Amino acid sequence: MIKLDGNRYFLRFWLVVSLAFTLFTPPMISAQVLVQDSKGSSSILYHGCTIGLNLSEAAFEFDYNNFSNRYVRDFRGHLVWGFQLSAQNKDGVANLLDTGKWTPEAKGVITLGYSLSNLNAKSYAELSRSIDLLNREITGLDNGMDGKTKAMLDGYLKSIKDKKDSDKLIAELKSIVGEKDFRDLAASIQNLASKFPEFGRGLLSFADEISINIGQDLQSKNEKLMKLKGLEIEQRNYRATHRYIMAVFYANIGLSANSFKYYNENSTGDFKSRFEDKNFIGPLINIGANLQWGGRYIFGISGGLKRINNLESLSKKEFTLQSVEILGSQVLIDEKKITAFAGTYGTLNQYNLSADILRFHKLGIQQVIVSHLYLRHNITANTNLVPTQTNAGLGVYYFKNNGAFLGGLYVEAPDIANNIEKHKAEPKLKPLYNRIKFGIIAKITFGSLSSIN
Amino acid sequence: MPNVKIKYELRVPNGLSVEELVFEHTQVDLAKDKDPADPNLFKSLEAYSAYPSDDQLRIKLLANGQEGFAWTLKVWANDKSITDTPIEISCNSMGKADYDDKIRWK
Repeated sequence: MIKLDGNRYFLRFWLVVSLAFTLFTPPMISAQVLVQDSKGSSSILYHGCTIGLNLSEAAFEFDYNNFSNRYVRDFRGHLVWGFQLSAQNKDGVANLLDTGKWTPEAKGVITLGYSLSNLNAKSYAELSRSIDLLNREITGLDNGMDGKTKAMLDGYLKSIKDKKDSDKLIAELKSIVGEKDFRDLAASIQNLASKFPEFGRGLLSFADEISINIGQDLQSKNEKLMKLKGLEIEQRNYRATHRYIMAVFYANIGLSANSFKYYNENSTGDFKSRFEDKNFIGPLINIGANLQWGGRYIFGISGGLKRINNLESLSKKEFTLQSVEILGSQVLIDEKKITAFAGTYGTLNQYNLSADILRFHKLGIQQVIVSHLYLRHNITANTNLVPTQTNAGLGVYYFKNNGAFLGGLYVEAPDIANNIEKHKAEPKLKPLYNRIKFGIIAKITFGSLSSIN
Repeated sequence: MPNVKIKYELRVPNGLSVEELVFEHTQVDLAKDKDPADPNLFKSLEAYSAYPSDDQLRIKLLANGQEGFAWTLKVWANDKSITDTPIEISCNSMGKADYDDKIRWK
């Protein structure tokens, strides 16, 4: 009996929990998480808080981040952060129920970065701050004048409320003070003097009192309004002639792990001891940059280092281990099927380069299509163990203009030169068109958790 | 001067970020109004006071983001809806989804 050790159990447990959670969460049958390749990586920090399931790769992914802010008013730039957890059965979903064919992999990555845009440009930031300040000052003056005029009105109304025929005048004064612009207030009250001659003198002095008390505020407001008008024209012109440009610089660190049964053909022990459990954990580090250019493009590039093992280059084999017990004239045969990976095993450094381009297309009034072109180039420090490989892909995502994701498709050409297969002891070489992966994309974005921001 | 009590509801998709929302000269505190249960929703917790000079209320919203995505805004003045159809603005190819116009509040 070959036993799984603790790490392998943990990875398997994590995978089962993840997939079960994903399957019981309604609208998400998927193959690839938004703007990522089929391995769940991207140089673009675009995806929001998501849960993704990749059926063809039997992978689950959980993303939580502040990459997609709906309110940005920080002219100094702002911090970007996030984390990603993923788990996968390397043997695919079809083998999930086959206890002999579990090859769990898991990854955890933390991202930290800084985002800047041309809103941070000194001239624009100062312009916006000046507009904010003027608006605040004008609202302050309005509040002040509102309070003053209402207090003066209350005082005047008290003085006339017991006088004969004052009801009509009171109603008219309330309407004027509640409706007229502060600039027209005094004149409107003066006009009432001829309509209500018995209150003429009082009304004229009430109008004077208002003019004197809010005159300075009115003058100050007019000056601020003139200034504001000029600044707003400047702001409008800036926005009409400068496309929105945003850059993000980031670094991420993480760990990736896998666990599998290895067939060591050089082992000198009995057959059983040739099957070894390999548990691998390797660190990874990346730095990258994103650039949003206007409304249509986001470009991303990243480079990094990852410690990996050569599981991908090993050949998967099926073994049948028989134990024969002979008792007298009887023979008892105990048979066990074992799936294991064979070949020369080792660990090595891999240098990763990623490039992504997102293009946004407005489709009609209510739809948005996003196309995603990506390239991954992995250079290995030991090409005898894992050859250098290049993957390329294209994803197309379909959204409603309110941001609701409706679905998508992707196509990926993995290891374009087929270097990994060529490197195997018994290569099964297929032309590129036979190796191209197609898939459908869906995801769920959850709102409630992201409110922790 | 009319002191109008303004309430609003603003829905912003993931592809956009709002820079500012102003009613006449009154700035909305979007950080405060962010719905704790829905990161795409901003909603007035308390009414804002605005002083329109006539029966038209100026609404100004500046937003940036990716082409095609649109925000929607519903506004109430003195508890009466003044946007029978919500205002909806799509982001253009420059990455801007701005609105600056007056609507009748009475």
